[in-house]
Amino acid sequence: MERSRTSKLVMGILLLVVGLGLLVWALTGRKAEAPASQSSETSQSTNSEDSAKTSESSAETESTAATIVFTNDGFTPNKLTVKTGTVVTVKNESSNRVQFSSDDHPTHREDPEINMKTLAPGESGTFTAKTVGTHGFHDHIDDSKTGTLVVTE
Amino acid sequence: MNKAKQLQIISWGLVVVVVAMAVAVWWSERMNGGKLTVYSFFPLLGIAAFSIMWTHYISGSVRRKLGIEAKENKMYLTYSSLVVLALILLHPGLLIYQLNRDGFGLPPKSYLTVYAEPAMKLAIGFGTISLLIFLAFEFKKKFEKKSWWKFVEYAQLVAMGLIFYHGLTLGRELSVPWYRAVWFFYGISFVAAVIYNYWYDSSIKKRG
Repeated sequence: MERSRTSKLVMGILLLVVGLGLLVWALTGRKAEAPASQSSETSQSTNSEDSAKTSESSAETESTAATIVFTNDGFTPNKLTVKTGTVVTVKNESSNRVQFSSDDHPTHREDPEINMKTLAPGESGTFTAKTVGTHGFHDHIDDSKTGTLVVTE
Repeated sequence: MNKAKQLQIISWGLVVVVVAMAVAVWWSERMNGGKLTVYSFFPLLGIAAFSIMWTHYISGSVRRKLGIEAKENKMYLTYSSLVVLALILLHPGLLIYQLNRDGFGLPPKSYLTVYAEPAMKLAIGFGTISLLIFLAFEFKKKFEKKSWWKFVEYAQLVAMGLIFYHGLTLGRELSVPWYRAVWFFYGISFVAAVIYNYWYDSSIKKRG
């Protein structure tokens, strides 16, 4: 009697684990390859969209600078558009440490060139926007703080 | 309606409410058009596991208040415990699996690479310790007669505290103000429930 109940419990656990596993698999698919392919798709579509505008904007190729400020409320601006070659400064004006990171959390593999080391309150850091496309970013320490960086040619 | 029925309804009702809130806050954080990955899915399992475990303590207090035996709520305890077990295995399991697929290797290396900040390392450590403590409880049937088993039960309380911190530090959903308030409500009511349950059981023992 006890043995049969234990077997039922074990079967129940196995079914739950397998069921939830299948659900996750179905919802997320094979994500290991996703960051690279999606990132490349984003760049390509932006490249093709932007290629039509190349003649009118080709003169504006010099590097510029931009700043993103991190406060206790998050990133300001939380959507920033810059040209390739722009040096982006991230200033930490919050009371917490911040680690400016590319999506996807927690691995930050979608656009590793924008990943930064952790900044203490009052510290600043920079990176150069090199890859054309739309790049999601977030604070690795509090990933509810998010933003988008759009890099154009 | 008898007291046993009332207890069952309250217990299952709590499960439905806490799981619904977990799903709601998780979904609200995923509605910004970001893609759904294993990394965005596994936190939900952890939140749901903690929330259902919280209902165990609260329904335990309700049971004592109603003055009925634990066996009257056996179905709830059995099935919700099974769900919790599946969730606490899948929560780190999915993360470990995906980190390994993404080339970060296995824990502790993968954890320490991805969660390199000191507070994050601490929270990950707390999560791992808690998982082991929760899994130890699965040996209840085999060891509950042993004199030392009470320490395993006390350890469950410590593990709940560690998970409370783990969630606050690592859980994106815990940055959402209304759910952060719910989380603190879980913490405070959990402590109150443990004190009440302990006081009730002690007074029953004294009465013999």
